[in-house]
Amino acid sequence: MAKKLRGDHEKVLARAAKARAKERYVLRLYVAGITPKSDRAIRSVKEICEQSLKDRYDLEIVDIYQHPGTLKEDQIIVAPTLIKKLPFPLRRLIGDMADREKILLGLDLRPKCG
Amino acid sequence: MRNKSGKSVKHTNADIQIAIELPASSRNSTCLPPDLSTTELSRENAELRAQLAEAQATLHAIREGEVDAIVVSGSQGEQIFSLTGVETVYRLIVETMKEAAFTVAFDGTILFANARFEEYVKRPMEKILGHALHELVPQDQCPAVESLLTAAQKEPVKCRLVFQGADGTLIPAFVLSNLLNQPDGMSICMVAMDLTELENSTHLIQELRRQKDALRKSQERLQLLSSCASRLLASDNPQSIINELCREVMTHLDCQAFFNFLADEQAGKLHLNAFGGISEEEALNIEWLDYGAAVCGCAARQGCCIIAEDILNVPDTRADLVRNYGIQAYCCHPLMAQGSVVGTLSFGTKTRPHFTPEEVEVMRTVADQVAVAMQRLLNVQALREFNESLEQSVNERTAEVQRQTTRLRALAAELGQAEQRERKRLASILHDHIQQLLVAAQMHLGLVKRADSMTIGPAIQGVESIIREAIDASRSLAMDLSPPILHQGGLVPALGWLANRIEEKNLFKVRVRADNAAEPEMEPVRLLLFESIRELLLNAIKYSGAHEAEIMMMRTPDDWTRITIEDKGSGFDPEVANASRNGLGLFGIQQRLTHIGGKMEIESAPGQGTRVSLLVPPEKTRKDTLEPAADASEIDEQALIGFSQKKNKICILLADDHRIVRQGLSSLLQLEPDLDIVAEAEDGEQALKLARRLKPDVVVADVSMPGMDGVELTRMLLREMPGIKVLGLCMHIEKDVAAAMRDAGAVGYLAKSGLSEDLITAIRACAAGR
Repeated sequence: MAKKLRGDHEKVLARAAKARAKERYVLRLYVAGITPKSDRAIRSVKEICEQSLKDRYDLEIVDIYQHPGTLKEDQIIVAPTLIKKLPFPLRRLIGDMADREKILLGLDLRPKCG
Repeated sequence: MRNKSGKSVKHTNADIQIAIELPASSRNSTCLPPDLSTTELSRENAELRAQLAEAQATLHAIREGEVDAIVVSGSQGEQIFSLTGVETVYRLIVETMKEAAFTVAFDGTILFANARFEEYVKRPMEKILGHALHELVPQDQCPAVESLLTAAQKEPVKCRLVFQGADGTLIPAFVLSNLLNQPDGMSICMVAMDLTELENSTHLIQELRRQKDALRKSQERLQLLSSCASRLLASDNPQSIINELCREVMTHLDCQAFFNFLADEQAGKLHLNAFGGISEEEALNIEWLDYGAAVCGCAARQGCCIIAEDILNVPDTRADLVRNYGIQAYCCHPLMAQGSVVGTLSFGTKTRPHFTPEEVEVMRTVADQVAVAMQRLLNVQALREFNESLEQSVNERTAEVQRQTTRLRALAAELGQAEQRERKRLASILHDHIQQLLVAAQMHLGLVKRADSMTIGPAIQGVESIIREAIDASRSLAMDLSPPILHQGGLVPALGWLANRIEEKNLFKVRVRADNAAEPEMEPVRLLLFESIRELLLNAIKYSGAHEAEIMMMRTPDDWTRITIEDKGSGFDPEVANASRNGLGLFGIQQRLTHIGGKMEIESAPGQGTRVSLLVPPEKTRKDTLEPAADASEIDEQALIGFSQKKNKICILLADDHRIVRQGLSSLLQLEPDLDIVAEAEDGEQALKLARRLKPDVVVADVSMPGMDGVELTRMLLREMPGIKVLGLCMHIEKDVAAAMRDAGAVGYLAKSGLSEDLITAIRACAAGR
């Protein structure tokens, strides 16, 4: 059983990995109006998307002051927050997104080390 | 505690309530369903770990200040709290933007204002915040502020508002207002844009438009004036086109009436020549206007432009006439030609009470043009008349010249013929008389040859007597042709001889009274006079029907030689004689006399005898001579008048110590048009002073004045002013006084008791230089 599982797992993984490579990312970035951090966050995220997710991402930027209704839907507590809606699982990243590696990691674009 | 959606709410005393939402699958958790498998457990575990990591990360971020805002769900719903530093950018925008932003409460109290607003109202912030908006606008804008505040409470409003700075300057602004929904109350947010520049440029555009209008108007004006000028110049009768012109000017100036008066010299008033804007009947009422009446009369009398403005309100009697027509402003210009007023041109408007300087200028220019056109006509007229008179003069002269030429030609022809006749006469005398005698003598000599000693004596005697006769005949002929006495003795004896001869031959008595002193000096003159006299005598013998004539020969006071031939015969009309062939003789004499500077005068009328005078000028330059005034000094009047007409007037200084005499002389002389008394003096000293100052032409001075007498005066005058002429006056003529005056340099000496005409002619002669 375990072997079969492991084999299944491997196949699943491989399949998942392949699929992952073609998967479309849906991202949503929540910012708080025009602040320096929001500014930085927007720029950072855009850069990352362009570099690592070229042509396979949808990025939506939402100003929490202008669209307060959406906060509940995504359970936003703070801004700036980047939500990875797709692919699963849902991930939440907080801050000005200055640390590129952290973001990539958070978006599962980097393998976990160790 | 869990509510329905699985949210857990924590209440603390702090203002900020943080609710951390956990995913639905997590639980506050001692209740773990016991029947979950390991896989499920480990999955749940992983999830929980991830969520925990997220929550930790969130808290970390908050603590580290990496977030800008926190979303809080409270009893009032979702609320976003901004953390410090976030509003800097907004604040920056509001403070640095080019518009003024401020918020006011509903009652107008200013709650917030940015720096730009401070600039607009030129007040420090302390004077703005908490003060009413009404304080920052000029008085007249307060109602506008009120209405703005009221309207802005319901909906967004846009309007124009003028702010007033503390220094009084006004700033027009475009204000947009919006309701502000703040948690602790409603207020109005306003943004104001400075309209100054925009309005300035609008102002500039308006100014440009206005200038363009002015330019257009000025162009119209120019066109109108030049069209007027060209039409007036082209027209031969400017008066007739005044109507048309003035109507155009009226349209351009927006006037409703015009009047053109022309000065009528005969009537001494102004006559209405053209008008517009009033009825025909009304025009009849004002057809004649006196100088000084109404505006036009005043303008004509004073010769200057008169403007009456605001007529309806300002009492001005001159404008009464036009006030009745409803005219508010009226301007009248005089028409000036050759320095005098020939009429007026005026315009009146009912639409406004004042004329602008440009409008007055247009009217003045039109009036000037009309006046110039009229003057041009006058000049053209005068020129034409002058031309005509000139032509006439030329024609007359030409006719005269032609007449003279014809006569001269005729004379020349006649002369030729006369010469022929004379030769024929001579030839016939020679042939008929002398030749016959010589032939007879020859025949007798033939007889003598054949005669014997008895008859030879008487035969020779016969021949002698024939020869003697021949000699007489030839001498007589020679004498007839050229009397030697004329050459040897002179004209006077020659005249005597002629008289005798004529008496013998023609049985015509000739009386000669000749003054030896009148003998002309030059031979050709003597010859000419002799032949002329002979011809005139022959005329008298042939035509007058009389049996005697008289010849007088004398010298005139100014040294001319005058010869008069007079008979009391039938006389003739000199005009008729001139035209006839016989008149050529007279014409010839006249021409020859004129040639040497003399003249001939004929006085004759049918039935009244004939007197012909021949005058010959002196050969030498004139000497000062004194003649007793008792003799009628026949001065040639015609020559004198001709001379004094050249001068304008003869200036005379009278000096006489008797006032009555002076007055008498003065009034006598003043009657003469060519004599002018410039001064009167009582004695010699005064006369001298006045003469020095006034430099008269002639000084008439009494010789016997007290102090400096006439002789002394004459001497002094002539020393200082050599060209001056002095005439002496006295009660009676005395030879030595006369001589003294002559020596002093006076030109004449007259008796006061003499004829006035003598004095006048003497003065004229003096002035003429004779």
